[in-house]
Amino acid sequence: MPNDPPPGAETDDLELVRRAQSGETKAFDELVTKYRSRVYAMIYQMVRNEQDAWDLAQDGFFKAWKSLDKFRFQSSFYTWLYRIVTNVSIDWLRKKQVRAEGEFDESQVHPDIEPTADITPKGDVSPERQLERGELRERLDAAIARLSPEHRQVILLKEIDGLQYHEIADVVGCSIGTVMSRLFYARKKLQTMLRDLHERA
Amino acid sequence: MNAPDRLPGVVDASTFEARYTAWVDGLLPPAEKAAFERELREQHALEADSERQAQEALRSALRTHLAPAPLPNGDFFNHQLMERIRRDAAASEVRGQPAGLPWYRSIFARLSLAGATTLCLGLLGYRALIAPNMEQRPETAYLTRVVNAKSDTPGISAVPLEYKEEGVAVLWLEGMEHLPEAYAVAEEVIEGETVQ
Repeated sequence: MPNDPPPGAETDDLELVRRAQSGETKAFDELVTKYRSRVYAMIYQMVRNEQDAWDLAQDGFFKAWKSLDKFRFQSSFYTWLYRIVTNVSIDWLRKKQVRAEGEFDESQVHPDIEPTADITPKGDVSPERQLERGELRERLDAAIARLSPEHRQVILLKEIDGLQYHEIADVVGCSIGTVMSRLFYARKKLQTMLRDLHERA
Repeated sequence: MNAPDRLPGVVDASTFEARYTAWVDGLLPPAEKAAFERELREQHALEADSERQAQEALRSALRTHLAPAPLPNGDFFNHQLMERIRRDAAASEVRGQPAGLPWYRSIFARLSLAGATTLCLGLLGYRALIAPNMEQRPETAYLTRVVNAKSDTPGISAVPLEYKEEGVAVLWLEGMEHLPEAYAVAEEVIEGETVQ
């Protein structure tokens, strides 16, 4: 997992949270320093804009500070913080109507995407090689932007942050089954949207 | 974060989507994995190897392309946030709300103050305006005597009528052939007026 906190990190977090809950801003400052990069990176992947990501990260941390008395130590601080930050980002995305056209909703049947469609790449050209040419990079960016905020959220938490199903479920506030379902559709939609690149290769 | 992911079979891998996700992430137990790959081949005409290869390529591309973006000016990020927190705390104190006091405590305090004030004003108003008007007008001896009238004849009915605004009570009698002399109309002077 690329972003595992070091051993003992959660214990340190809880001590910092206790101090921050008593009004010690320096303790909260330490928590911010610890997680600001991961939070910013995650938000940036969601909104794809540096300034917006910065502002939303500020909003997320500020909201966390204001809600700190509601943290009951029933989950890790990191998970709790992520829940706040992703909700801030999703709300922002909804308000800005950045939702991609043709949003994917697993509750509906989509005739254009057959869950078991044969969309495997032909040939041996790896996506990484195409990525280096820049074309796949742009296509991938566009494909991710077309995912619904909910699908974008789970695929980023899984593939970029390396969270596990139950951690994603904690962050998102849904069941593990829903997380797995959203992951399935997010991956399938990305595969479908990038199919022509695979086929050309 | 380091705990192994729960086995999907334990959670909910009853749907195709859940089984597929667990299979892509390499979390299906061997027996379930073999059964799922057979299902892919026989029911969906998909080759397990190529399907998994496609998913792994996608994952690799995602991780390469979406490598964490570095936060520019991390120290300034903290500075800006802490300034915002300080400003918010100062604004809360100006509003009379101690910094960090939860909103619901503030609301309860305000509601309690408003309730106590309303109660005091209500009591004062009652004493000053309502209580004096609540004093009963004295009943006259005359009214009491009328209500006590009675007859031995069963065919007689009596209906007492009382007009409090006028200070008058009337006993309406029916079925009497004549009025005994003792029950003859009496006169009484009440507050300067003659009443029959």
